[in-house]
Amino acid sequence: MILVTCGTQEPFDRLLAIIDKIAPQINDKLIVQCKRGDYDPQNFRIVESLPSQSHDDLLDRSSFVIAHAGMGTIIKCIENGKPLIVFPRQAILGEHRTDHQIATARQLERTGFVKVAWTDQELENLIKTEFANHNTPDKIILDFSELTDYVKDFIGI
Amino acid sequence: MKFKQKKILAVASSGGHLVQLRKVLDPLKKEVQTIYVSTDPEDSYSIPDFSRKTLGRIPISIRSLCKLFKEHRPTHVITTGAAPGLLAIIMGRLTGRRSLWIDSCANVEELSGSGKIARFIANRTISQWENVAKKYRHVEFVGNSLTKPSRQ
Repeated sequence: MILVTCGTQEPFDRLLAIIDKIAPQINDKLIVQCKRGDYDPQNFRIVESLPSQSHDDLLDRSSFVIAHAGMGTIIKCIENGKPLIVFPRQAILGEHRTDHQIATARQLERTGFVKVAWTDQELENLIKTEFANHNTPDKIILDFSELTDYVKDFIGI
Repeated sequence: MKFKQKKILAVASSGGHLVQLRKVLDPLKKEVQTIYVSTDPEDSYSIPDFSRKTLGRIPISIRSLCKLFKEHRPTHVITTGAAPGLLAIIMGRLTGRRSLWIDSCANVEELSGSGKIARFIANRTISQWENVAKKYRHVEFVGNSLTKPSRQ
């Protein structure tokens, strides 16, 4: 199973169209969570939103994840060592208000944990490669303890 | 002398903001009572989400937050954003609560739009990236939450 997930705030038709195009070549179950836009996919059903528990379960059961550069999915994939292909939203195409997803993706690409598709063609290629041979992502540490300590100090406990 | 019991109102938009806030605050759940407020109506406490495009929803969000402040009497407001978190910081400030803005680690080059405003209102403002914190006054760097282990 492959999980495609792109948040609940904005549609992401460009991603849906690419997934729809290569879906027939992928012999695996596709779960696609995305806010509905204008694009009407032929090869899968769109799930607009998922309760967080089922989202976590699906992420856990999928062989890899394709997502916009949203921090929620990125953090969950890091925690679970789940291979992740990130396809950042572009403000110029009306996919987000700002280009911070591009900056996030660039930063994360440097850590080596996520694979980033910068163009539609790259996304197609990355999905096909990932599907053919699952790669284990580099280990990355997710550590919020400095922030937790800061909060402790801030509230005085 | 009796000290006032500390209580955190932890506000975050559903998704990445909330995931991060829980990572930071969940380890403290034995030490301080925390009320999580999201923007998902299915969660225990939630307020309507709004953004620059949907400012019309602000009055309902204000009313929901007022109710939460009254019911829980938090001493501190902590948020990772986005716009509803800023609103909570502003209302916290107006009612004398100590407040902390933790900018999402998604903002790797500049502070979020709401964070840029929050730094003048919150008692403390944090960025999780050093290069971002350096760019602004009133912003501290705490974190490096995402780090690749060095190969040895």
